[in-house]
Amino acid sequence: MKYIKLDKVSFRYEDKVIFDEINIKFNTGITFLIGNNGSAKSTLLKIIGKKLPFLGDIKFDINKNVEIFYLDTLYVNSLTGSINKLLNEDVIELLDLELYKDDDVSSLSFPLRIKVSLGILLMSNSSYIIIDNMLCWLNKIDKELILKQIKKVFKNSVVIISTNNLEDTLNANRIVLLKDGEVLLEKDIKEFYTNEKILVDNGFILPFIVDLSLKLELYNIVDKIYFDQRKLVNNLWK
Amino acid sequence: MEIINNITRDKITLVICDYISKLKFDGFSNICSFVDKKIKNNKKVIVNNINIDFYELNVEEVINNFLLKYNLKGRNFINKVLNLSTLSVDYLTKDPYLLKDSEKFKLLISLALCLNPSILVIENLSCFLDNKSCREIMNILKKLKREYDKTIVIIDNDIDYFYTVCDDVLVINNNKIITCGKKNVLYDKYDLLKKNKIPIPTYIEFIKYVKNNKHVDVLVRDDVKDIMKDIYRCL
Repeated sequence: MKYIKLDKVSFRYEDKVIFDEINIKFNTGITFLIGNNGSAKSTLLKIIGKKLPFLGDIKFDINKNVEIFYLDTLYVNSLTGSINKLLNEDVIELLDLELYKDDDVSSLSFPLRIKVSLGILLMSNSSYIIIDNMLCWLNKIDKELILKQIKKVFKNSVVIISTNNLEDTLNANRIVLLKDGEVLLEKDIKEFYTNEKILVDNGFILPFIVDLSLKLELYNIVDKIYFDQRKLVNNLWK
Repeated sequence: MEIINNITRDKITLVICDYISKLKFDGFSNICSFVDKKIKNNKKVIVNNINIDFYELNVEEVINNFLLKYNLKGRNFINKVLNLSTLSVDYLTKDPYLLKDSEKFKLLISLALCLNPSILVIENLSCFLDNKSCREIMNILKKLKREYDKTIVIIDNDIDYFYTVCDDVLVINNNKIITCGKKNVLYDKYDLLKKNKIPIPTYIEFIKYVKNNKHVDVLVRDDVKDIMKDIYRCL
C-alpha cells in the first residue's frame, strides 16, 4: 500500500504561520484537496512536492527518494515539442487531440496544453501524482473522461488533486477539506458528504446528485447519499 | 460569427463553447487588461484574468491610472463604481497586491464599470475564485443587470453553477452557433448537443435521463429543491 504521510508539518511565510504541525495521510487512490481561496491548498501541495522548505517530516511508503509527477501551471507552460512526439496514438485519440497532433504544444491554448500534460501523465507509470488546480480549465466532458482514466490507470498510485469545485470530487476515494491552513475534514467520500452543514457553511456548492439525494433523504425518499445519477434514478423508479 | 446579435440585452447569457471557439470568441485578449470594442454601438468590456501585477501603491492609484488611460475623471464616479462592486471606499488606501482574489475581481469589475459598458463579458471566473466568491460576484452582476440594464456574458467551464444563474444560453461549436435562447433550449436540443459533444449541465442530463429511461416527465428546472418536489410528485 503506497502512501504519503505528513507528520507535524509546519510552514510559515514571513511572519505568518500557514501550517502549524499538521498531520495528513494520503493513501493509494484519488484524494481531492478542497478549500476556498487562501486555504493554502497549493502551498500544501508545494510542500509535499518539496518545492517549499518546511519543518516536520514527510514520509513515503518506501525509504528511497521518490519522484512525484507534479502537474501545475509551471509544468503545463514548460512543455514544448509536437504532440505526436509527446503522446502515443491511443492517448491522442482518447483525448480527442487528432486535430492538433502535428502542432507544437507551446502554440496551443492553455486548456489544450493541460490536456496534453494529462496525456503525458496517463502514459507515465507514476506512483505519486499531484495535480494542482488544473481541472477547472477543462470542460465537463474532458474532465469526466480524464478523471475516469486517472482512476483506472493509477489505482495503485497516490493521486492528490486540488480543486475549488466539489462536482469534480465524485470520483474521489477520499476528500480533505482545508481551511486557513488547518484540516477541517478528512474522510472517505461517503462519510465526507454526510457533513453537509460544514460544507454549506463554508460556502461550497454541493454536487447536484449529492445535493438531490440529501434532500430526498430528508423526506425519507432515499436512505443514502448517491454519487451516480443512474443508481439514484433506478432506486427511485424500480 | 456574429455573436452579439444572439445575446439578449439586459440578460445574463452563459456561453458554452469548445476550446477553439473560445479562442476566437475574443482573441483570448491577453489578458491583464480590458479590451473594449465598439460592436454595433455596444461597448463591450472583458474581464478575464485576475493574475495582474499591480505596480501602484494603492487601489486609488490603480483606479486613477486607469481613468487617465481612458481620459475619464471624477472622484464621485470612483466612489460610485466601487460601491457598485461592493468594495467600500476604505479600499482606496489598500495595497492592491494584498487584495484577496475575490476583492481583486471586484476591483477589475469596478474598473470595467468606469468605461460604462453595455456588455460585460466575464471569462473563467470559476478558475480563479471559489464557490463563495463566485456567488458574491454573481450577486453584483445580477444587480448590474437588474438596476443598470447591463448585458452580462459568462464564459466558463463550470456550466452546472452558471446554468442555475443565467437567463439565456449560447452554444458555439467549431465557430458555429449550435443553438441559443432561453436556457431550456439545452433540454429541447439535447440530442443535437450530445451529437456535437457539447457539455450539458447536470440538471438537464438528470431530467433527460429520467425521461428517456423511466418515461417520467420531471419539469426542466434550475433548482434542486424544485426537482426534488417534482420527483416526489412523480413517484
